[in-house]
Amino acid sequence: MGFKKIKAQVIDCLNTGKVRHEQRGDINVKNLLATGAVTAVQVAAAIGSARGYDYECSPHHYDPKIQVHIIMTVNGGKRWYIKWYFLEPNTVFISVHE
Amino acid sequence: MDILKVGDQEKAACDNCAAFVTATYKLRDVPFSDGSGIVKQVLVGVCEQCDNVCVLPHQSTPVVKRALEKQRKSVEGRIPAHMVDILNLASAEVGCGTDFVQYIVKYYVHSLASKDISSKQLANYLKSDLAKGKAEKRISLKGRHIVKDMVELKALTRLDKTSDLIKSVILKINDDILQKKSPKSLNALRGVAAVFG
Repeated sequence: MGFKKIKAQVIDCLNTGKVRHEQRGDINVKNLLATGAVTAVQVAAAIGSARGYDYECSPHHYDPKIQVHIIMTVNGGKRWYIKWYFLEPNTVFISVHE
Repeated sequence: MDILKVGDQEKAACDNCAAFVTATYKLRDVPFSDGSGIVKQVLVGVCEQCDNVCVLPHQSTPVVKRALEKQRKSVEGRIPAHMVDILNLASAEVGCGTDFVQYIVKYYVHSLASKDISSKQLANYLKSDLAKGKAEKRISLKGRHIVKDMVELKALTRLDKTSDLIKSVILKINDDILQKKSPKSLNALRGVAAVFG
């Protein structure tokens, strides 16, 4: 899947609420989207503004068929680090940091 | 918005099992990762194999946000009126209004507590003329880390009274920002202002 399609899919999930947050036995306070410190609209805007050079991906450790997507970009005067994967029909966020 | 119910099941990554598993959505009391508190009765996905909490649906984020906001604690103290003026002038020096005052104090308390700024001379400020004056004004600092930072700074400086500690921090701010106009301190505060100011 190309970068444009990946962006479109994750933004669609953010707009429709098909969003999950990966947790490790507790609530990760550093995931700003999970704690409500930032909104889905802000995250969608940050992802929407990212360019190809802001993006990288790698296989998930538990299942190499699943790609983990990472965007590091600047939007709204803030630096964003956003990490997620798709578990159809949802997007699962691992990290949403500023 | 996609809404899940108690008992719904989905595939999720379980850190404990190091695998993708079936998670069942249940109401649980779940701690925060920094150990600062608990979110009570929040809907989370629980691993069917090991009972580990492995996923939070987006519909649960308002409950998490409310729990985080509830645990914001405050530190309060009484200070002379001229110290409020010092803070207002320091805020203006950074290019901000009086709303930014609490961020300046919290930044200094945190930086002093974490030893980014030396706290060795802090107690000496209380011997200065500016430390005198009737404490007529109240200062309130709210946040998730301020209480912890104050405890650590009290241990470092051996200043036991909260008001004394706040006064000494304000006089340190006066020294750095208004008197010396330290570029390093001003730049650091301008960075904070870019985010919160």
